[in-house]
Amino acid sequence: MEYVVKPTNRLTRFLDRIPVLGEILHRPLGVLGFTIVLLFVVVTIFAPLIAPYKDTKQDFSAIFQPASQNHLLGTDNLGRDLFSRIVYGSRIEMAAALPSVTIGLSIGLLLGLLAGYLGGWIDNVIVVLLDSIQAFPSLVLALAILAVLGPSLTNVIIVIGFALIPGYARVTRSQVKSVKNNDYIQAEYNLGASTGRIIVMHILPNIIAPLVILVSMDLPVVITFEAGLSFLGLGVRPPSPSWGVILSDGFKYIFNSPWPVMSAAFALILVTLGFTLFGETLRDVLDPRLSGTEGS
Amino acid sequence: MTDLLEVKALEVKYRTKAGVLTALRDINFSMRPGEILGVVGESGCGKSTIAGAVMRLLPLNGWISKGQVFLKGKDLVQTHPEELRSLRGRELSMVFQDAMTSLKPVFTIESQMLDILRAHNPGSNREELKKRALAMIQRVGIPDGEQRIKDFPHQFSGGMRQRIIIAMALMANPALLIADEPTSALDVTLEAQILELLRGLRGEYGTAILYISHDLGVIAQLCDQAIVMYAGNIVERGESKTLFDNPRHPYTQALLAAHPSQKRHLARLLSIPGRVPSLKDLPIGCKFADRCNFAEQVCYRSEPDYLQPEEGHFVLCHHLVGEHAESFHLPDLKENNLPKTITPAINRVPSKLVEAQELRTYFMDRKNILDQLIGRKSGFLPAVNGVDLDIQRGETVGLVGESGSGKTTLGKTLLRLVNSSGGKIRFEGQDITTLSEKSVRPMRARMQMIFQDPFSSLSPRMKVSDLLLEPFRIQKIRVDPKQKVAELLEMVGLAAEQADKYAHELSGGQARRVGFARALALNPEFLVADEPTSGLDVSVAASVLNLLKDLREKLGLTYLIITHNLNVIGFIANRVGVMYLGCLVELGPTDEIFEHPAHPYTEALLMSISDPDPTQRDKRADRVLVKGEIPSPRHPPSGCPFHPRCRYADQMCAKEIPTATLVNEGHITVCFHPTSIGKG
Repeated sequence: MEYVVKPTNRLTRFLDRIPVLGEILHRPLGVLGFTIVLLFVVVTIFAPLIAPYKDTKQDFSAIFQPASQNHLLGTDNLGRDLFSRIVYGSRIEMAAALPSVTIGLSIGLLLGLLAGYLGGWIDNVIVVLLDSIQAFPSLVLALAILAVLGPSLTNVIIVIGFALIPGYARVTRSQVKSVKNNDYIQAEYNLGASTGRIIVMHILPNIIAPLVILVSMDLPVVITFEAGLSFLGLGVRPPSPSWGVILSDGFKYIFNSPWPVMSAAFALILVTLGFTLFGETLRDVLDPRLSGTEGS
Repeated sequence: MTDLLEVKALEVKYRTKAGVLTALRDINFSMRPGEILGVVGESGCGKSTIAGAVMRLLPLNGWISKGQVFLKGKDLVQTHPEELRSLRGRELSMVFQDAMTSLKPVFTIESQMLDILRAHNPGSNREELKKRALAMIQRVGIPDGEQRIKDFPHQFSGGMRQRIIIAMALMANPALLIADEPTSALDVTLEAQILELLRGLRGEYGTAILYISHDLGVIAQLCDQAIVMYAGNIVERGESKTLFDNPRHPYTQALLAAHPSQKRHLARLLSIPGRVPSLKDLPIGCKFADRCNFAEQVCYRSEPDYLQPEEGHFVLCHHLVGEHAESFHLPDLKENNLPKTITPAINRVPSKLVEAQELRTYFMDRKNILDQLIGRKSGFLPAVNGVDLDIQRGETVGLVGESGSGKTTLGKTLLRLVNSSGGKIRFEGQDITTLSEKSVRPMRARMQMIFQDPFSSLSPRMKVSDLLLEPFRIQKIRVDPKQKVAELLEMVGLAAEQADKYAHELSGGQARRVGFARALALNPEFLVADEPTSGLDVSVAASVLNLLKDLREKLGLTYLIITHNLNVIGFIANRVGVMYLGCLVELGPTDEIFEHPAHPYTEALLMSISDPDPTQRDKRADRVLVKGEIPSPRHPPSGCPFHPRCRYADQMCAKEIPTATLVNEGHITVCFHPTSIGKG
């Protein structure tokens, strides 16, 4: 493959080397999405260094402050610095989103592979199972489970992870079914390859792209879902600065100050937008039908 | 007589990422009313661009940069788009390769035809138009026209759809019909039927036809005039009789020499080295010089002009090839004076490598849960229905038949890629029919398959080197990776640089070679090749066939070659098996099958071959065409499965199923009347 040599700085040149990322960064929306996602990750990792205050530090001399130099996003009803709470809150969002997506992906992938590759009655059973999970609206399901288990971050993760399984399983199943019928799988089989080898070496690499895309587009959904549950008081408990908690607390005092609601909502919108743009660009880049060439 | 279509100094350009490319240069030709003009050449030579330019239907990034296209004296290049629209359909009409996508899936045939008729006959009586549509449908040979005209496109087979498209194109009685590879996706039998239909329609309506095809045989059979395209130029143009009898351009000669027809006894086909240059970097001089056997200094330096060896015969070359005849090693088409190929089977002690006995493969219909619960019996499709076939070590058996006759399924069943439903498969005498998958695994190294679609058989996420090392990794054989990959690539004639490429970066011919290399990696004894040349240009196909032949000689391979192309079989196989609806209807030595077929289906297949020899056309003016299409194996006809399409069939054929009879030594046919074949 030839590269057109452009006068770029070393960072861009370095990023260009990473195959998929380079492609993403050639699209304006991809750059925007990637920047936001990167920002979000940096903020979660370095939260204590970025936040000017401790997230639970109260200051009754300065409640309902609007944005100022001391408090970038103002303060809430207990005088806590909203910017610091949002920054620390990102850690909770990440802590909720990553494990639950991992649960959904791993169980869904396994079920999808089994159903798609083996077919027959196993396929039927798994499909019925997935249909039954999806038959319940996920919010109702979540409310029911949380009512039994009690509200906590761990339970939220379990509930969301469970609700994500059908999506991943379905995508995996349909992908496996179409990839399985390709001649290269038969060629492999004809060379005497074992089922395990065929699945790991040939089916997985060819179905992974849509799953990666699904993950990147699911992350913001999970974050809003967690925020929603916390808003309803079923998720993370105050005083932990989950964005949902900030929203629900701020809601009570919306006439005293709009800043808590506004800052949490803004953070949510930004992260959702970032991941969605990133995911969509990723889809365009990875989908060979759209880009024509891949790999390289 | 005045010309119907006259194209003068036409030039077409495309705007692409790589800049502005010239797709057609200095195109001149003319057509008289009612004439059939063939355009032939390899892919990427600009054949379809000619059609697009004449129809003024070029892709959005293409435009006519120079020249004129006169239709009945009117310059289409200068015509206003609105006026063009009314000309299309009425004066100019087009038939595309893919019949399915050319028909609207949600409307019945009748309503689609009425749409066209109404557009050209505003204010006419609806019943009147309906009658005309029906008459047209019946004219193109759709059986039960009255009922079927109310059907939707998906209810028709490929051949029927192409007929419907032709009916629609001719509905407004255009003066010129442009057909872009209309039969490329069809079986030979259907192709012959469509060509016959086109010829008949031309006689009836006086429609001129501009016929585009990559198949020299089709062009020779159908056309009065022919144009040979190369890299955007017309390299040769003339009466098709003169052009095929006495080709003067080296490219035309090479194409003819690469065509595998009538070359049963040749050791090798001529293959043209290199490939069609990309429009991005065309050579300065003659575009064909790089691949030409007699290129001289001047060919690389300056572009040639048209020479005119006879009246109406134009050749774009610096020399007329006749003057160089002694330096050009073309195999003589007329006399087979080259040594016959040695048939390895005869030279060795015959031993059976693969045997199939009463082999059956049925595909069960998928049952849904409800059907399973109420215990409904599932339907099945007998793809292979009782085949007996022995393949000797070192022999090449060709398997022919129309699509849907079960050829590929038989090949896959022999390799245990598809489970058989009955009968026995033996490999070197060992019964492998019921062996467990685990016990078959080590044997798989000895029997390999080359798949029909070269790209789908190569994993898109692996480099060529990894693909070629897969066999060794799977069978846990330690090899020096670099050396082995280089060795395999060299064996199939690929450059070592190809090792780092992914499948999608290869051309069709290269991908096929990689497929060969992978199949040959473990030194198999038995190789099943499924349509080894389908989708390849003539010259590439020729080199692939040569390679198959060379490898057979070098490695002592045994082949089962599955193809619908009888020319390929004639060139490479020792024995031929003809399949129809899952059964082997005739089996015998190649020469005998070609010269004395003993089954009416074989006879029909042979008659359907299009040879690149226009003199054959007149001989076959009344050639036997097989009627209709292959029925679904789900509902096979009673008695002999071929009887509804057979011209020899009598009452017995409809009632009883014939059994195999020996016509000659090693020549079996499944027919009640083997002796009357070829005499009626």
